[in-house]
Amino acid sequence: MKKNEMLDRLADGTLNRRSLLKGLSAMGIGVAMTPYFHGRANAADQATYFTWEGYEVPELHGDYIKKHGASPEVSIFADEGEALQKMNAGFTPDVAHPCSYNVNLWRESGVAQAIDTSRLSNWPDVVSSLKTIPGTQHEGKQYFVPFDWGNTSILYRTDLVDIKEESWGLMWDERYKGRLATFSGANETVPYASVYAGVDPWNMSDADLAKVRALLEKQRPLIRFYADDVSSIEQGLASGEIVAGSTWNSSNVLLKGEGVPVKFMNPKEGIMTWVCGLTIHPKAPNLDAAYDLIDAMLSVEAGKFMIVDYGYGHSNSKSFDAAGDEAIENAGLSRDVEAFLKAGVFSNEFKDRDAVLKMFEEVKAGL
Amino acid sequence: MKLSAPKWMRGGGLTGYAILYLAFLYIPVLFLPLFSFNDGIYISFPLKGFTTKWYVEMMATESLQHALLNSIKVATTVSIISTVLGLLAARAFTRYRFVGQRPALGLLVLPLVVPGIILGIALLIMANSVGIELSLFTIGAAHVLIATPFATFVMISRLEGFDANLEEASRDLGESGWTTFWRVTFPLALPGIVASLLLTFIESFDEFILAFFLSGNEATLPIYIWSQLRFPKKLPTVLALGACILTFTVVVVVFAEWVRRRGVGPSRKSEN
Amino acid sequence: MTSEAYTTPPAGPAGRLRTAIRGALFRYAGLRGYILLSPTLLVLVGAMCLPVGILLVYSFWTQSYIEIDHTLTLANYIKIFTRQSYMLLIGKSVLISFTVTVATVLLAYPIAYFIAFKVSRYKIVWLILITVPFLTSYLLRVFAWKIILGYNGIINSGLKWLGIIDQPLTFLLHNPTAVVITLAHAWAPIAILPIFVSLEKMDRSLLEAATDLGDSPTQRFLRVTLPLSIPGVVASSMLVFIPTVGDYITPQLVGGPDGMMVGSLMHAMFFRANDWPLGSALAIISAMAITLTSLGIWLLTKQARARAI
Repeated sequence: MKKNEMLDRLADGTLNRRSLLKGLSAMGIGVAMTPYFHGRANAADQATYFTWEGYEVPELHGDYIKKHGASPEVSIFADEGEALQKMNAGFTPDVAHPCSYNVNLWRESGVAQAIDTSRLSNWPDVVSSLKTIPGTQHEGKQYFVPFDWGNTSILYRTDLVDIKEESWGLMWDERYKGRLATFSGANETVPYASVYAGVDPWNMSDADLAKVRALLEKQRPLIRFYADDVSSIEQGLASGEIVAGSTWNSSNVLLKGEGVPVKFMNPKEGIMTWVCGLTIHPKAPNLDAAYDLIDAMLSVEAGKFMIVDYGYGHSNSKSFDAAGDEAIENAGLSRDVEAFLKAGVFSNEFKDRDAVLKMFEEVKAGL
Repeated sequence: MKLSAPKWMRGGGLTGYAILYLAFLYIPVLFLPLFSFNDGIYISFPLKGFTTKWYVEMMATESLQHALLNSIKVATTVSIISTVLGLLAARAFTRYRFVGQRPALGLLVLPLVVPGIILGIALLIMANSVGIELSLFTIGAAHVLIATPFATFVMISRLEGFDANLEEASRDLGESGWTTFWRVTFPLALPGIVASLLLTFIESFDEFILAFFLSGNEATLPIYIWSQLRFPKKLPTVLALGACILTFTVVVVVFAEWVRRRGVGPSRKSEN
Repeated sequence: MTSEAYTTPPAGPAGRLRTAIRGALFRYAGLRGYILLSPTLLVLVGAMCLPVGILLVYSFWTQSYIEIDHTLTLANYIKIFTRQSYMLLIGKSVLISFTVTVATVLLAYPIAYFIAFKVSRYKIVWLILITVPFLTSYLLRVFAWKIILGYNGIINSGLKWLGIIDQPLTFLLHNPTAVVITLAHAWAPIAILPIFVSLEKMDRSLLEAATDLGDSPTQRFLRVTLPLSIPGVVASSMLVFIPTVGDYITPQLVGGPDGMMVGSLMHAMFFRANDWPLGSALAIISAMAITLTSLGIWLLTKQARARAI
């Protein structure tokens, strides 16, 4: 039966079932009705890696690729709160990438299990001070494998910004109204606002919270957008849409590499420091692959890439030698991790996390 | 019957407006394919040169293929289920009169009208309280909810012009209920069914909000697109994908609408 | 109506039951209708009414940290109603949606009129042309506007390239105006159809009568066509207004800090601040605000619509 004839009879309603099926099978649609195949057969065996954008690049888990033949399945989150919600709702990655101040919450929420560090060949080389960050251990067990560390600070265009001293106050500078951007996550923005306000971000009283809130409300009209991710801030700085934004070390390396005149500030009130790392989900479907992935990310090759190409610190102490002192200088890092972290304001858990988060969401909404 | 319109609406003015309006509807969307062939990462003028490399890259991306496959799986299942449900409901509404018909119709419209985020939140909460884990199934269930009213209305518009006498005649001639359905009702309703299958497929394929709220480990295509929107380097590939999706959608929808309206057309003419 | 199935009734109690049911189905056509409708109704109730019910219950609970306190309380509602700022956000969302609705319907009316009265041969083509954009991916359409209005986007780079401006225009993106433009574009097609239907169904003889009685074309439009098309206009407004109030994607992509709508806050409560009960209460209140506004429009135009019918 010709196609046109069939369409005509279809429209007229005179096509009967038999001829329709004949026609359809002739067109090969029968093939489409066969049961769906399950995609790549080996997809189920790869670990699922839940992380921030940029950390899924193959250079950071080379050993895993060598052993398993492919990269793990990746899912990206922009905000740890969102990541937790997704896992609470049933998403079960094998390995996730929170920062140290969230490990307690994640463990209590049931999305992080105790890690058997004897299964990690690179564990002995991990900087010892990083192994014992408060909140990452519980009842003698390790729930967190430190992976990367670095700073949150202001990255600003040296050609568009004129300041006398480096201070967090740049993010409240009325001269640059509508040309500032900051992270939309409370964990990123509230701490530096607190530091600028002169209060301890991690132990805020109600009065402190009100003070920080007022400050954030003052900042809001100056903000062009609250960024969900680092790319928006990087793009904004590159195009000149914004003159300053809060971001991490990697943005500095990236934009400098593109020839954009930027500087990663060391504010007088104190630069923010953080350590992030890897957790394993209690119901991880591919436990062995999970350990392989973590071990691969702890390797020296991954560490070298991290320091040289991203400008972040790495938890493997041998990575420093591999990267070389020049790269460490360029990135603004230091071999003495403990001193580095102590020199800035180290990211910790908020005393009343819910109150802080809610406060910031309300400020952002303009309430 | 041609009645003269008010002077300010007459002739060229209104036609000109219509053309402008169509331009307003289509041009923003046409930028997507335009820049998918542009040899440059940033979406800005001037155009840098023609290239198809983004399409090549798009077809090589594994996570994209995975999401595409998921979307197809979900959309196909949803279209079949919602069309069946819609057919039953449409038949109930057009052939029978019963108490509570209007409220039932109102209930049917509700999923289309409730804001997606509220529906998504409600379904997420229910899945959570009942202990259902999020997966492609939960996405599919949500899509059936919004696709079924769609399917019902498509089918109602098709079945309304349907002559009930044909069925009676068939029964008088000795056919039982089941064969009457299969030999008389079904073929006449076929354009509506085909249109419904296609339209609900597209509805599920393109749907983002509900999928986002109810997704587990597996992503559908819109979720994949959403996750790529923030990477400037991946942007042209996303545009290439967008252009493909648009073309596919347009072809399917035009075909579905044409089939549906062509089927209804002859009976309208006969009324005149 | 004779059929072989009924010439020999089956015997026994099961047989009698079957006959009774068959008889009932025969006599009460309505019952058959219900049975046909039941699977669909079940799905609707199970997948919509039930979740919304659970949502309602959630809104009466409270959450702190990760524990949810199951005691029923009005705390969330009190919080939302007494914090002027929450109500302001909902009010702002309603206002933005209202603006979008007005803009969309105003733009849609002329083209609906055009297709209903001015097009005689290719109505189907026009209707398809109008419907198609609506059925393409919503996400892509919003994103298209983001790249059009962006700092280095299509409008800015185009104007710069043509030499019309030096510095990019900053007022295009990241504000409520961008939200209105994007939403008006996204919902335009859906606004046209109800208006078209009511114009198309209009009794042409009424228009003829008006002309015969001496009305000028403008007068005829204002006194006959427009009032008779009000049901379509109202339906169209509803179809645009209701979904846009809860929209959170468009504000997120193009709204900037000022363009935030209540949908973003709901999303934040569920995905960041981890307060599901508060988010649920917010959702319920937004739904009520939408219903009240819609009801208001419905009642206000009741007279006009009654005259139309």
